[in-house]
Amino acid sequence: MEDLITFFSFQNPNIRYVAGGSVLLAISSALVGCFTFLKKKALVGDAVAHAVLPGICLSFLISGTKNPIYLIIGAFVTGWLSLVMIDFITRKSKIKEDTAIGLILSVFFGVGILLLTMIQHSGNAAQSGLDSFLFGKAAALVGQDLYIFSIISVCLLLGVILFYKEFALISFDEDFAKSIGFPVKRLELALTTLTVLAVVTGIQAVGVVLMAAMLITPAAAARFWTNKLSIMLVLAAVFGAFSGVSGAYISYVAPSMPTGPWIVMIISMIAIISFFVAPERGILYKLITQAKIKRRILIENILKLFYQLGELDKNFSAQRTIEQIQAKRPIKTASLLSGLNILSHQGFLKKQNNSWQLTDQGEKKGQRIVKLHRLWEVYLTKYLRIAPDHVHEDADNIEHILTPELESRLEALLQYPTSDPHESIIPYRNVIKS
Amino acid sequence: MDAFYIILTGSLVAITCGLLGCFLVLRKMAMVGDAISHAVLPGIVIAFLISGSRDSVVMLLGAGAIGILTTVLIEFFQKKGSLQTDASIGVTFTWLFALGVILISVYANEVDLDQDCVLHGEIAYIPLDLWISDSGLILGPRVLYVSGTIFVIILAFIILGYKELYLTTFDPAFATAIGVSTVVWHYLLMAAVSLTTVASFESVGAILVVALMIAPPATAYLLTESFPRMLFITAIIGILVSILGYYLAAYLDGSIAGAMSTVAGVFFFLAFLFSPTEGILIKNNLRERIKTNA
Amino acid sequence: MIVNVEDPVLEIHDLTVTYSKKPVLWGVDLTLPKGSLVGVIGPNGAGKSTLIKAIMEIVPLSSGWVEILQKPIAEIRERVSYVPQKESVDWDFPASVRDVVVMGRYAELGLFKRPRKADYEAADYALEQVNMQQYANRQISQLSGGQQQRVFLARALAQNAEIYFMDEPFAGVDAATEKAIINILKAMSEEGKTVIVVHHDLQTVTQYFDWVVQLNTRLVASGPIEQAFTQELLQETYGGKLSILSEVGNLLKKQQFPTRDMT
Repeated sequence: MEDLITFFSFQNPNIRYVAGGSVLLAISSALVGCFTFLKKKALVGDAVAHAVLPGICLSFLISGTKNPIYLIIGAFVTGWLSLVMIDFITRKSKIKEDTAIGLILSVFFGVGILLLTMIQHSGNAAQSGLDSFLFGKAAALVGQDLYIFSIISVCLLLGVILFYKEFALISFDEDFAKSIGFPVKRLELALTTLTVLAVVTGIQAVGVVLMAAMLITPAAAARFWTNKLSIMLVLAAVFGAFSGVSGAYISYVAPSMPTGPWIVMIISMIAIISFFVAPERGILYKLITQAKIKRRILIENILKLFYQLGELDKNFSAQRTIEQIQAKRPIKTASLLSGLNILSHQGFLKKQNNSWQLTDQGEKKGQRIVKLHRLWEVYLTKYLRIAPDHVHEDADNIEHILTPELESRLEALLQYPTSDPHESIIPYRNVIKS
Repeated sequence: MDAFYIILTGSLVAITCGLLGCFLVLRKMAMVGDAISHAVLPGIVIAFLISGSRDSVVMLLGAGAIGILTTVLIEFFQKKGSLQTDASIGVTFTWLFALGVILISVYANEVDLDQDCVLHGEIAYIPLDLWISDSGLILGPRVLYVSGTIFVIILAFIILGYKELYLTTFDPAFATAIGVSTVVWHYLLMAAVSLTTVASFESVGAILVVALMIAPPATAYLLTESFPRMLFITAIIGILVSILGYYLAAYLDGSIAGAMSTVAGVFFFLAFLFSPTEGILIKNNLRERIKTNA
Repeated sequence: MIVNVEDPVLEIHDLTVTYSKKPVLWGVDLTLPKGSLVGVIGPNGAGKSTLIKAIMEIVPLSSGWVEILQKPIAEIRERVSYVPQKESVDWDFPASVRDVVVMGRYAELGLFKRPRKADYEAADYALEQVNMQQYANRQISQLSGGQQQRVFLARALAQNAEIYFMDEPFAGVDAATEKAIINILKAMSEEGKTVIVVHHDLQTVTQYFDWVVQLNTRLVASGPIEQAFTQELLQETYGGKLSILSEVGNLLKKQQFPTRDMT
């Protein structure tokens, strides 16, 4: 608890730097990641992330120091090279894109591991900490390093804001962008550069292996919550920032824990939770919607049954028992009871002892559904030429979804038919003016 | 002798990964292979915690099941969540791999794995870990036997299922039409990939498994248009990669796994440039010659 | 105009297929006679390919059932053959012409068995029928569009099935190949085999087929050419959408409505 307070009071400048740095890194990756996500090139980010390792090692080998500027340049060069090569291989040979990505990813990384282990075995004292690039170490962000990476992150943010409209268009519809004269090639170049930069800075926090997650996961999580790009960007940035701060916190309280994986854990959990609970696209939401629809279908069917029984007896206000209803249509007792109760509660039925009766509203509603069912049957037989004995099941379903607008259009199109293919009368509310 | 054991193990792993990789590459599932090789990590750690050792069959099978779980998860996100394929793969495997690394760190005392090691394995140490039978007979490195067994299993799988795998890879619609279940063979292949990944983790680590599954098959793909020959070339490249990788690592004093990936990459690059039918330098050359002759 | 037959070789009942809850085929009912050469026509997006795929259970059915020779397809797959669209396959695949054609024999072979000499001979014979025997060892990446189509046809012929479904076999094919293929199909029909072809070229329908199926999300017509291929029916098929139907379809998708009422 004490640690929590100490950390979040941000009084310790060290903590400020680390937390601030992690947040910036996470945000810039999240933003750039949204565009690669929309272009369906999410895994290319993974390749770039793995590909920067050899560049970092080469810079170290050549310069002999861990000067962040040299390391960045090295990372940038190999990161860029990997993208160029993926594109080149895919275009110039029969190798498909996914293979090219996996190939470049693993080979570049393998070269990087080779170089890294060479450096480690060489006993050069300056190399310690180089392997923090594998899994990241937010706590290692101090002073000058942080300063430089923060500047890059800010540049990235500015870049995204400036080119927002252009990036959005080329992610969504490249051909259209070309047709209206956008310099698509140069924009792609800019986006690619920003992606590589985001990777180069992001790996400080999460490391090379999991960097892909910082590009993909915030965007995926945000996608579940919105259809608007601007909101998606903001959400992704927020999610990214949250996981960045959490990672910095963990780095502070448990220095032996690998930071990168924790940041990824947190952002992944955010994504998985979004996947379940987000409105509209979330799974729980879909399940609930399905249940609601099933319930509506059930109660509408019950009202329809009441009306049909009324037609048979020529008495719409008769009391009906469960057995009578089930004789007309075999609905399970439990569901039937539940439906009857809901209808009573809603005012479409009136309960008396163990039987129910239609209210006026109930009769109107039941009548409408029966009408829609029979109208649709006429539509299917007349316009879709479906055999009369095959239309019932379809009508049984569609009767629940026809809106009043479609209802009037059907009536007009079919010229107010009086009976359905099975000779049942189609009930109209008002007298038809002929 | 050590060098021999190492190269032999490396070759077995390379051939096994490469043969499976031929199918993955042709099915455009190279990245799914990459995903599985990362996602099995938590399974390995948990299995290690439960079984207490590295070489139980239970561990292999349990951890292998995680591979299938990964495919199921990816498909779940795709179908039920309408999440695009590349993101489904990316989210799933990074999450699982992160989980694995955290578990290793948390249970560092009980689990004989190390963070960096999972990435690139430590094939150089395998001669030290000998399988000693109850009667005291030294049978050779334990990992060699594991790799050898997996090699045999996978080879049997490919031989027995050859035509079904071939058909479902080339034309899944026709396969379904004539009654060959694309779903069954898909999951069998994924199971094979995860079993192989898990078994190879120790010797070559996650990344090299991917390199061996993709680079030699991609190279062979550029060198031939006959599938049996593609499998054969992949196997040969696997052996060469193992031999040359070992000596390269010795020369540079670096990780053998890293060296093997590098050599695999070099082979691909050479094929990309010089393949008699597909090499870009050769194709350009031909075009020039046709122009001058015309 | 929907003509039904007794003892149909193919019977479809109330077939509905949805993609993401939106119906692309709606309540199709039809029967087809044995030995006929059937053309399935309709505008783009009408569901023609979907119909074939649904029959073969390559895509799932939302409602209805299909019987071939009075049995569900799972029981008689060896007697049904399928020629998919050329584009559905990656022609860079490492395979020779013969490799592909012998796949037609897999239906009979079953698990774990290798193709035998007889199977390779059947494959070679099929190649002769489509006049591709000289290409038996050629790599499929080197084939022209017309040759690719002939290889697919040979694969189907090698299977020696009784009923054949073909998805746009004449698309992107040269005139000579088209002529060769239609002659083979007619010969097959004369032998009593049923051939059902998704076709895109209205000009050749009367020349090629004896039975036509007109489809536009729902079945418009099915019957012998003289009865089912009339100007009036063509107008209905190609004349534009049934706006109410498509709006209902959109509603079903938007609200994620189930396709059938299961209560």
